[in-house]
Amino acid sequence: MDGLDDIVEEFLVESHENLDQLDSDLVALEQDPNSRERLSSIFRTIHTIKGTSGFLAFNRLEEVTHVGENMLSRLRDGQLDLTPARTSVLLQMVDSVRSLLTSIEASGGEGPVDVSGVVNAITAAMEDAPAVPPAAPALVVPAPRAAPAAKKTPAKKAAAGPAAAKKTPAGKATTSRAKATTPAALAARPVVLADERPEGAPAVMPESTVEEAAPAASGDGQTRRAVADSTIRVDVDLLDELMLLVGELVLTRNQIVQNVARQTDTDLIRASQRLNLIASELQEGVMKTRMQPIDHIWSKLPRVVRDLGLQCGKAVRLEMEGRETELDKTLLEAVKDPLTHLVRNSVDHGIEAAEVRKAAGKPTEGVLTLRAKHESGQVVVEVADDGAGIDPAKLGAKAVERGLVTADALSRMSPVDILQLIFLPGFSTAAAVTNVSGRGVGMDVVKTNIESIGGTIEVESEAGRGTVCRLRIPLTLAIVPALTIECAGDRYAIPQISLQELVSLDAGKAANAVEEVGGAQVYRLRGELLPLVRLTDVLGLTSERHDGHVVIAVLRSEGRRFGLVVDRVINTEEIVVKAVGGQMKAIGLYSGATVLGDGTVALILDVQALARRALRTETTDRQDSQKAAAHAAAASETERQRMLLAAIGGGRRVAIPLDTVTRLEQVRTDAVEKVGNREVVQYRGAILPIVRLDRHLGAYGETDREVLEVIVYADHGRSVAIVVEEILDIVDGEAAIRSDIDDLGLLGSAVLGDKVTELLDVRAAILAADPAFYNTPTPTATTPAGVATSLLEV
Amino acid sequence: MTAPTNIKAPATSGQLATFRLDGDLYGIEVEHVQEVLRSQQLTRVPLAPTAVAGLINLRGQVVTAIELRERLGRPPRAEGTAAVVIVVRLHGEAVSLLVDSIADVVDVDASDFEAPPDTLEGQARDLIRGAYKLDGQLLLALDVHKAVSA
Repeated sequence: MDGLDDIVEEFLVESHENLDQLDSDLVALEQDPNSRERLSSIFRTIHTIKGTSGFLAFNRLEEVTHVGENMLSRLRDGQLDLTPARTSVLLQMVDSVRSLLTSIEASGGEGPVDVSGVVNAITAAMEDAPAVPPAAPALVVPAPRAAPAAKKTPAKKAAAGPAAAKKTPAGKATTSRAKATTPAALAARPVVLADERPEGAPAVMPESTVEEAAPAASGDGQTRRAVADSTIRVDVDLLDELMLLVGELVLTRNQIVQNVARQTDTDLIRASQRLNLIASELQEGVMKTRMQPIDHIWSKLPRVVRDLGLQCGKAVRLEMEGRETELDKTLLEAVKDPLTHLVRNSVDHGIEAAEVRKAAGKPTEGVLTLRAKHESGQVVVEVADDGAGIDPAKLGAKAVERGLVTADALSRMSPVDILQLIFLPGFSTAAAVTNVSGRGVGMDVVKTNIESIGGTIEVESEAGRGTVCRLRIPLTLAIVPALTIECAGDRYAIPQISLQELVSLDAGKAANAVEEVGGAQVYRLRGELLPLVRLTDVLGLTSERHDGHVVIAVLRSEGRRFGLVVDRVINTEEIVVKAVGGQMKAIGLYSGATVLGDGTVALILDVQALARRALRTETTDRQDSQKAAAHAAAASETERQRMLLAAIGGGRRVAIPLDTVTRLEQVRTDAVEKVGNREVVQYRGAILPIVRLDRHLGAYGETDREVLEVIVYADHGRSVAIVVEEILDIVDGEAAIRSDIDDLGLLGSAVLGDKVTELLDVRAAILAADPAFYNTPTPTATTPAGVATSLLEV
Repeated sequence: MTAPTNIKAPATSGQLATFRLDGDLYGIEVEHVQEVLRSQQLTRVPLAPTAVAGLINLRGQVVTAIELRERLGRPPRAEGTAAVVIVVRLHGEAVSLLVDSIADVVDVDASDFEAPPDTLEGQARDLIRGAYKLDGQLLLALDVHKAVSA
């Protein structure tokens, strides 16, 4: 059994089924010799076996089926008539095929089964010979086959020991008996044959083999059951149906468990616990029927890697971990192409040529590692290489060159964010387009494919050390763990795969913690600004929550985090995803619907689409404006920028381009320390220089404040903090009326929000805090273009 | 099952399942009708086209409900009156129509059929194939395919 690979095993299962069908087809054909339909069906079956056996290099099997096929094709085309004699030789052929298959199953090879007799018989029958010639070979046939049974034994012994040796004759016994019975069924018609055969070799065979079969029964039975009898083919539709029913059961279970939780009847509680367990196990069992090891798609990859490696002149070793990890068949199919693409990418772009590797002090052979594992209800598949890694600088430059981001936006992106740029449509990092990858079918397609099955993809890379692409795929499409939430009186489900954490703020806390800047609400989640999206706004509804509580579901999509503000969180439960009609899909916010425990229908939110829609205003506006600005003069670019308005004391307001703001923070006054005559504050393990904007610009703000409002600007690992009195708003600078009335440290002034506002020269302010700030490599890229050019005029 | 152009709608004989909507009698081919239900709990779908009244749970299957009054440009149903749900099955997919009340199954004859009057305007014109002249009233034949493609 170990020697049989999957293909052979599948072939055996299939052929055994087909042969059974063939027997009855042939017999039925005798009753109705003119049924072309039946003939065609028989022809197809034999043709399939012939084709596969040729492919698998089972030559004798091919020989028998080939000659059988010849005869069948003539019968089918009406060149020959089906006579009882011909039927007999066809049945003999089926028997030969069966015994060959038995031998293959037992030993992995065809063994010494002789087929020439059958071949001759069929050929003779085709030559329109009378009924006698086929009868003679028919008698001859069992004889050589009885001999091989004996001959086979020593060969088998050498190969697999005595246990295996017994299998073979036993296998033959079944064959011979089948042989004996099949003609018996025909007894009425081929009178000559039916009479002769039981007297011939077969008559002896059963007796002799039955004795052998008895001791061998246990081992033999196991082997056969393992392949042909232990598996049944089940229609995938039936499995889907079962899955659906189990889904319903899970829902009902949820409902009962919820209700019983309020009861005191211990018997009922116990029964519901049992139901809970059984339903879970049943769900798991049914899910398993659809599960296949990931090796099914991995098994083709060594070849891909090898061929590609040769083609690229690279030595690559493929390692696989967790190849037995199972996932749903449908998902497996969907992951196949993206995974192949990632592997090709790694070999083509990731792993360097041998000499480059040598120069870098790495072993010349590159290692590509595929890992699969189950992790919190998901399958995590990693494609990791130990190649050159992705250089964020190079990647960023490419993105700018392609016009996917502006240099300005790039300068504010963290290396991790920059890596995510490879998922943008129209991005290919291949320096030269090879015929391997870089043909425009890029990572964006991979990403779309993975997302379409509810999965996510992320990439990690360390320059010089390698790249890891990580796919997270749900175990199954049908049942997913989800968070149910309430919004405006309706319930919605959010797939757990996108959920990171939940934040609940009571009214008092929410008033402070949720900061409103212009229309954009943000929440400081452990120091990072989390953009907030109100589900009611997205859906155009009115919230029913008026007590000031804020519940935030922190979601992750495409490497970005955002907080979805909902009315309340209900619970987490397993939901069954139901398809929705075309009209619902067209809305582009719902990935489906589900039926909750109480029978209500709830819509499943498509987090990716939600993020795109809700965060679109920000990103596309900014991208659009930046694109336009690139073509316009520097001055007009400044006008189009979004501005953060801040009060600096003395009634003065300054506007700071939002592009230059990395984070908003609050710092306690007593945390401010001095280095020489500069003020600094310890921030995230680094020393952050501070500039007080009121002093910098000669305003007189309050000095005795306990908490300082700080705008942090970070670039190339350096940060400065700009202290203002109060953050006021975010405005669009576009409509501003500007004037060149200015002062030291300012670029000019403008009317923003009905008030005259000073435009801060950010560069000067930063230099005031940290004179060495721009003494880092590539200073031109880091300074916002508008600010830099204007500075020359100051 | 390609929808014919509504002007040359074939006058077919056969059985129509009829229902009432804003005082008029409408009919759809009986073979499309899967079942008729009393009012169902609807889950609204924000941002959906106005004719989509919501989703209903049909024995575990999620089915879209189309408000036929909205589709035909009629005023909304009076507060407090429950709609009747007609579940139709088209191309293997179940969709439901919300109507005022269900009436009989009527045998119609092609000779009674007449194309919609030229004065019929608006949304209704696209959805009504024509009228069967029954005794005392008209039976409007609804193009069910168009009606559900809100």
